[in-house]
Amino acid sequence: MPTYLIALALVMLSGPVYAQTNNTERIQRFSTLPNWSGIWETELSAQMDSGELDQAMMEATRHPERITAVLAPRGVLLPAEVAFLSRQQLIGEPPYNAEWERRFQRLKREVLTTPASAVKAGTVKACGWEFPLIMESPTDGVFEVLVTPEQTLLLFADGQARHIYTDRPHPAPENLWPTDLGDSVGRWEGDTLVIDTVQRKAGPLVRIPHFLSPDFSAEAHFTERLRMVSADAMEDQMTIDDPARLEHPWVVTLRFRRVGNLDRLIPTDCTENDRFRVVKGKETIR
Amino acid sequence: MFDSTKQLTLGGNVRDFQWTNPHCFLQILIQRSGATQEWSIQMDNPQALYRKGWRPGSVKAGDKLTVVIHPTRDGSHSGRYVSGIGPDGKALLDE
Repeated sequence: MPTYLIALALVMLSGPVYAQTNNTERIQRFSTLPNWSGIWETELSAQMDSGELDQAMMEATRHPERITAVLAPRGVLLPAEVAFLSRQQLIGEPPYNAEWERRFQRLKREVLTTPASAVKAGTVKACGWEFPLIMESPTDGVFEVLVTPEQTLLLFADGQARHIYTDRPHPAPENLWPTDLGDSVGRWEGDTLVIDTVQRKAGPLVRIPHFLSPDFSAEAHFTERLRMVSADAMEDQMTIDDPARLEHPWVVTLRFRRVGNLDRLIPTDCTENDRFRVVKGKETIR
Repeated sequence: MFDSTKQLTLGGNVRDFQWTNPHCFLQILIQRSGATQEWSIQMDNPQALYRKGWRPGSVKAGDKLTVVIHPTRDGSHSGRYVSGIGPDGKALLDE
């Protein structure tokens, strides 16, 4: 038999054997991981779907005097929008250190005293939710979870994907730079995925002019404990540590529920057919 | 942008049902004072509508609908969908 035929036969035989060995190991590792497959949504997305949020927004429209949250200059956001946004835990007030508390109070005074007329029409528009707010988004907060031995993927309706690598550490600091979602790695503690996220872009959680939301540095460190608490519910205990700005770590507990009325992830997008326009200073549809 | 304290009822024929993000739109042709007006009715996004049972073919061009809307404050021929009645006289699905 010619040598090249022997070599070809060896290659053909060795490939499948190697793949089989690899698959067996991987299947064994898969079998130790929790099954989080399916479509999930944030608590606010669930409230939106059930109509609960609509009710709260209608109520706010009927009784705007009851709205006390300070998020934007009075008159810029509709009472219904304030009712909606102020439900987000992550748009609360973090335990700032003295310097940032002073800054926060100054911004709050500015927001309260800025007349609505000073805000350019159309600038207050929620579009795009970055980390960590994507974990509490009412509109894009529908996601699928894919757990593999190498990483856990959170795939959001707006196309964003959180890659949480469980088989490697963060890259060396010199190979990291701030991004919208940061860099995430994880480790399993039983059925709880402990996620470590660094290098989120510095700045407020909502990047809209005149809008008041927590502001973190690029050194902020996010630790999440993600676990299933029942067949249809997950919980994410998120601890935000930012020594440059916070007096002590800020802990919020976010909840997710399994989506029963979607058979697949339907994409969301805020640009495809955005007919919102500002014409002669007035918001309208074109 | 929408005046949620006001409701307007419109009857007309569908010109187009735009199954798009970030909002779906019903384009409806209304006859008023002998003239045809085209109204743009904003709805939720496809994901939210899909969850309520809507599909891209739920409403077709030519369908005769009656819709209730919150009109836009600027007085243009547009508004936010509140409810509707389909060609068969039955209520359309909720948003």
